[in-house]
Amino acid sequence: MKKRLTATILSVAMLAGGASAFAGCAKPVPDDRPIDPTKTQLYVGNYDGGVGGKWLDNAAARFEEKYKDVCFEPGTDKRGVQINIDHDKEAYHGNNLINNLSSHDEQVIFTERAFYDQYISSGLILEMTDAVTGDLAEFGEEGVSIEDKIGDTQRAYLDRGGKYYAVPHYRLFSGIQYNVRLWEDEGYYFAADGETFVSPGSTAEEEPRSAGPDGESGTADDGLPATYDDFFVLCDYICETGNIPFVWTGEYLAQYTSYIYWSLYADFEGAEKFMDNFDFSGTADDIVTGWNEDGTPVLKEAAVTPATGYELRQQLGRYYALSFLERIIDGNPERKYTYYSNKSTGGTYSHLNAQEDFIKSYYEGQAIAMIPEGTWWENEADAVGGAFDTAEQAYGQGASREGSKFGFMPLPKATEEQVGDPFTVVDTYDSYIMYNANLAGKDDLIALANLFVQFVCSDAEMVEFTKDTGLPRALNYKMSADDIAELTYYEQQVWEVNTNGIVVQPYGTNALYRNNTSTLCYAYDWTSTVNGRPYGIPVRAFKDDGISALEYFEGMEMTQAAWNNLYSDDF
Amino acid sequence: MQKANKKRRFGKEQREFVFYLCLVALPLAQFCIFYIGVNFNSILLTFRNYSFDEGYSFAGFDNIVRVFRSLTSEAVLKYSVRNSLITYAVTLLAGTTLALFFSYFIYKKMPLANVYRVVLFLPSVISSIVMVILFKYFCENAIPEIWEALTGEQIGGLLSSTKTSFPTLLFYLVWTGFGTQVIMYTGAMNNISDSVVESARLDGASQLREFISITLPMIWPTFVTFIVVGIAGIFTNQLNLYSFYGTGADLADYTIGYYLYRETTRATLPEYPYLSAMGFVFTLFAVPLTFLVKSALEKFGPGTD
Amino acid sequence: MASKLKKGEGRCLKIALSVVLAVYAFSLFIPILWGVLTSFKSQEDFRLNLFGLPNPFTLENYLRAFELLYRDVENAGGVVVRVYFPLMFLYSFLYAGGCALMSTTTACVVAYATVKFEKFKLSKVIYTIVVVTMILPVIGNLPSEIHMSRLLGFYNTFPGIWIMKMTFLGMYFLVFHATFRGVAKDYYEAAYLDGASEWMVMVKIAFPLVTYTYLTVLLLNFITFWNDYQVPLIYLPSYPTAAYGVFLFSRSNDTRLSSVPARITGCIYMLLPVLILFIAFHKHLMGNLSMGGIKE
Repeated sequence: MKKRLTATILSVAMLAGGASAFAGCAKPVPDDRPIDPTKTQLYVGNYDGGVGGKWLDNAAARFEEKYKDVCFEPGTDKRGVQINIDHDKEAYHGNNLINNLSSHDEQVIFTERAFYDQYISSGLILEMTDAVTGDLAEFGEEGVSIEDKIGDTQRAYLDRGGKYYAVPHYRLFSGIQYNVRLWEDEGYYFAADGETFVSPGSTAEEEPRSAGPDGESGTADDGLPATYDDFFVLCDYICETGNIPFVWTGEYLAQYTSYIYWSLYADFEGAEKFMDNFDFSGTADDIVTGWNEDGTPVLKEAAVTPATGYELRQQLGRYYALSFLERIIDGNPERKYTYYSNKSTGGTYSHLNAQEDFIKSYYEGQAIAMIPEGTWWENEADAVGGAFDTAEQAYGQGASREGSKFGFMPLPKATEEQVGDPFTVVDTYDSYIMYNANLAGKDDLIALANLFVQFVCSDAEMVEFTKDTGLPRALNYKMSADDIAELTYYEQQVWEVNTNGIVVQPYGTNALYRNNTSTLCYAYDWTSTVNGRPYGIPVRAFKDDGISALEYFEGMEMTQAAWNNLYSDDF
Repeated sequence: MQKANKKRRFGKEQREFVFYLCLVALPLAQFCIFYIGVNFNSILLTFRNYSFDEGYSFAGFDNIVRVFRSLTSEAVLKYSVRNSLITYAVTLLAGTTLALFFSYFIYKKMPLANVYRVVLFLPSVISSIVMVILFKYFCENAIPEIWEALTGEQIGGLLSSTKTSFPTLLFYLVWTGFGTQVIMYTGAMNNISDSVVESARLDGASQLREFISITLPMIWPTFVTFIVVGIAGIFTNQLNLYSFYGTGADLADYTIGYYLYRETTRATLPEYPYLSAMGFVFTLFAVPLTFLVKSALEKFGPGTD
Repeated sequence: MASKLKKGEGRCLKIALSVVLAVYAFSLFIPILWGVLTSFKSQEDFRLNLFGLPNPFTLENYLRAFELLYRDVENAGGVVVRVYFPLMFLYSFLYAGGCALMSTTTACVVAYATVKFEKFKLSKVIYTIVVVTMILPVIGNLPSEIHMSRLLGFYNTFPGIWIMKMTFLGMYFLVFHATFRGVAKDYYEAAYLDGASEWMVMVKIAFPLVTYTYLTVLLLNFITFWNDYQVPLIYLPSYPTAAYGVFLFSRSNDTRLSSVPARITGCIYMLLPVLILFIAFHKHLMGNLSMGGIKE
């Protein structure tokens, strides 16, 4: 026995000794470029999530080409720059990045889900004010800086006493996506009377459509349901024609179904009132205190301050959003219609599976009309899930990403009075460009990094970003008609919402918000207590336990004492 | 003579102490650096507050008071405590009992004992990522299909319905939790002297009698260890919730271990003190309980005579 | 009459236990079998034929996993290299073997010291430390742990991670503690009378008595470390282990790897070596203690 033990110890020791030798056996990376000692090296880390990294490879190549003859390290013979990009899904994201950033060699980081204050206070990132406020004349934009392109709310949040530590990267928002081709084929558009549907296959010219939720004819949302009631008339019609209104992932049920009620809430309240959840200032005029006999809510007005934030949990928009979700779950029992695919109830049914079925079902008999998703979904189904590829193989070019026709649905309004209010979406992904603190003291490299960041934030490069990913950058810039024509139908719709809708950037500069970001961010805490039982996933409460939207909503009420217990240090 | 004895004993004790120090010094140094050194600030957080604008401040018992208030008012925490206790009770009653009987079965070399020993240990060998994937697919896809074939009734996945998820998680915990215990118990049982067992046999003791009067007392120290480990783990057991659901588990299925882990993974610095205080509060409960149970079991356990 | 009853009773118990065990073993076997079958299915086959036999039967997942399961890392010289599965296995052995040896030995030695020298107050302190640290959750300590390991030069090296795992904390300390307490003091006394030193008593008398426990704990620790991807992910970024590889594999953005059959295949790759090791050695490891030395 002892012999065996000794042998084990010995062999482990030998293995240890051999490890370094073995490490030499690792093969060189095939497509990796060797380090070119005649060039200045810049190391870049990129979060390789739904947005991917192809756009960055392209941008870096253009940058290298543009500056191939410039010396970035005075006193050396080096000419030009080599940008080494590490694309990684784990490293540059959320708390992983916070824990590990100090061990990364990468100098410029493109990230998502980053809590700005945490990075600054931990000394993980370096100030980049020069890059943000510097003139972009180098890129043909005289008198303009990155700072000028940042939206007001975000600028107020990022600006720390005249210093900037990050540049906004991309903008993502979520909601309901629909298959436009199905709408055209089946005639799911409301006719001009707003009650009946247009004939299958008819165009807007042949048969005028209703004005849609924006209340104006001749706009992109014509024929789409204007109110919640219209929406469910449409759902019935979808079922009547043999199709399925919704599919969603059962694996990430909580997250993806929240895209429905959460987007509806923001859209119902509108930008200003929705922002109360973050800036904790203003007046909320729709706090529910009870219900009249005719079912209308009894409302009160309340000043919103950090001390009264709990009142917002009883905002009317939350109730309406929940009731909308409840109606989706309930379906139409009289006519035995279910509004969602039965696959959605399986806990292993991933968002990629749902995307695949959403795309393919159109060709497989029973089409699925809508899916709750984020604006990145098309890019994801293409580059990550591969659903468009397999769909194209099976059903031809029409099923490819370029050949398909999906839309980002402007949401219906809760009441007739709201029809015509602007469509409001929320950018929720805290995506930034930052400098790793390891750049400190390296002035030449900081100057190079500044130039690179300004380059990717120049209008021309942001247009390229949008063409590569189909997504907007979180800065203000314009796309020409020709640029837009290069986008897929869906991407055009996203761009349309980005420019003509209202994109809320949910940040607060107050201490309450910043010190409690994880519970207050995006106002995504929709937990409720019904009959003493806690709920966090409304769909499950409705479906499994028969809880009503009203019960759920009332269970969301938070007492002042509970609020104070959690947050009183910060007001 | 007496004096000389004393002197020698003193010398022996000193020698012993030096030897003792040789054994524990290095591990203790490691502990001081990698536990105390690394965690000191985190543990101190219980009594401090942090704000991005003002930095650290002394909080005294504020955070602990906040935790107690939350424990009495927040439904999710009440459920988490309840679930943690239920989880412990189930693993103790079902898990430990079955592990003991299975070990006894193997120890007695009953039919296929060797096969079972390998099989029982399989869930511990297979990484939890794999086990969870396999089990999840089975509960979410196979069982609804089988159920529909048998009864014609459509049901959702066991892990994604509010009615069945908690029992399913408990089942999984017990189902995959035998391995270590069985190995340790069979090891301890193999240690029992054959002569004792033989003489009991000659006295006409039944298997059950033998198990209760001989086997159990002989493996008592191992048994106590597992009970103690279980109690120490009441408030850290995550019930595999993170493996199954990531951060999206049903609130009513939460355990304290999962609650703390989940909140920590997404919290920022100013939110740590509250979580730290919560960990502290549960430690205050669990430490005395652990020692109490341990000494009670050792005191009132069956004798080995 | 009485003895007949007892016999019957024993038989009933035996049959009942056999049935429970058989059901249990069967229930374990089913999902594992399903997993193995799934690894031989194509993605489309899996989508349409969740529970049937593979149709067609394909080895593609295995070939593809072998080809695509790699990780690009920066080695000590700052050069980016591609690490494939075989090398990941080596790293796994180094990580799991070294850490298991370190933590098992440390727990064993410290447990021996605290039992043998219970009279020293420090022994009680150590025991209490173990219990308290098992219970106390520490919040947000990762950055400072990483900082410390870098400070001491332990970051991204095998000896470094071994030293970091040289800890007596955890349940196995309690297991050893209980085991040593079960050893009758007579053994030691006899040795002392023969003039043995403390060191000799520990190495020649005490340790052989717990060989079985030691090897079992070593195996259990080895398996735990083998399956651990979180620590290598953080502390050994240049040495991706198999578990780390499979974890990344399961979260990969590559279309060809994101299917369930592909993910399960990766898992089976990782499982095989441990399974073989376990089946090969289980008899030796869990055999009768008498091989270790003294049995009453």
